[in-house]
Amino acid sequence: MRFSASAPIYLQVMDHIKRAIVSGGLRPGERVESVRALAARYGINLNTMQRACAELEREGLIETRRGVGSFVTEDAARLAALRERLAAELTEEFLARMAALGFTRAETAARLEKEGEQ
Amino acid sequence: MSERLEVRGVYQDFGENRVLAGCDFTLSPGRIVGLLGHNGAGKSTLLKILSGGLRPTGGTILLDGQRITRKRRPQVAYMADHILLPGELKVKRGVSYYADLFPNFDPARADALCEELSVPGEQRISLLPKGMAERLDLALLLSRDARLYLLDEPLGGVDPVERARLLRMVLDFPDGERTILMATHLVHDIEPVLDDVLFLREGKICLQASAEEIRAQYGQSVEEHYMAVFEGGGGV
Repeated sequence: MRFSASAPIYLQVMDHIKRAIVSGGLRPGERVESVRALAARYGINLNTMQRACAELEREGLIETRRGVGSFVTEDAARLAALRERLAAELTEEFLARMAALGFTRAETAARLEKEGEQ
Repeated sequence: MSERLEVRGVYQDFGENRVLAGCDFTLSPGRIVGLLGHNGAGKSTLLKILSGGLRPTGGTILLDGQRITRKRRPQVAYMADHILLPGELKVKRGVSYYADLFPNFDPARADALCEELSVPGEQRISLLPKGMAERLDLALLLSRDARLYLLDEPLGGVDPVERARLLRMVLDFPDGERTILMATHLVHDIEPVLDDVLFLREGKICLQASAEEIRAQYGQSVEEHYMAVFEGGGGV
């Protein structure tokens, strides 16, 4: 994975894992690799990976069972909220970029509608 | 948290030439720290002083709160920017040579690291390609049981992407206690490996920060921030 320069790496890794959860790359209840293994996979510092995992746990997306391991949450409401939030972020970003190109919200919406029909 | 290394007002004169002009910084346990600066900024001199190989003209250095006496010297493991082993030895013999030379050296760990880094055991050291000799040197360094590891431009002869991969692999100590300080001017590919960075300019530490802090605060990679600070360009 290539990291962008402008954001902390732990945030970028969290984002990557969230996307994997929403898109099904990591399924509800699936075991998450150890922090060490993940750090190696992402090619990042162990402390950075630890921070990313701790934050995901704080957000309730990963649950750690002592002595067993860490797992993707099976809480359906939480997963739905995550999916909703990622979609909202993406929409927000898209609208902002269209606005920067000079499209009004109505124009952008019309465009999307037309795309949807095809 | 108590500090692993405390450096206070360290300066170094070589004749008329002031190479270090009062360095102050601290390093915490379990951190991987990059010491960044241009050629001639004093990086190697600073590492040499911290290793105990060079007595500074002035200043204080404390390891875990105490001065580094001869007896505590093995707690600091230092790797110069060139290999120090006799070239006529085979790699395997080099490992046992180190075992004789250093207390706290773990030959089993050295063998494991050499394998991880694909260093051929039966090869004569003088016949190793430069990058391979550097890998051997790194394996030997990290096989010493120390509190602080000092690396001067580690794997400088290995291509940057491979270098980052290898460093990530071997700097990963299981106990999370050991502190690593590595001098380099090639920061780009090893950025994700670093916890913190020190910028050394004209013999002084002009910045100490966590790498993530730099990205969060300035929206720049460590490399970009380094260039902004040192070239005065790309300022935010």
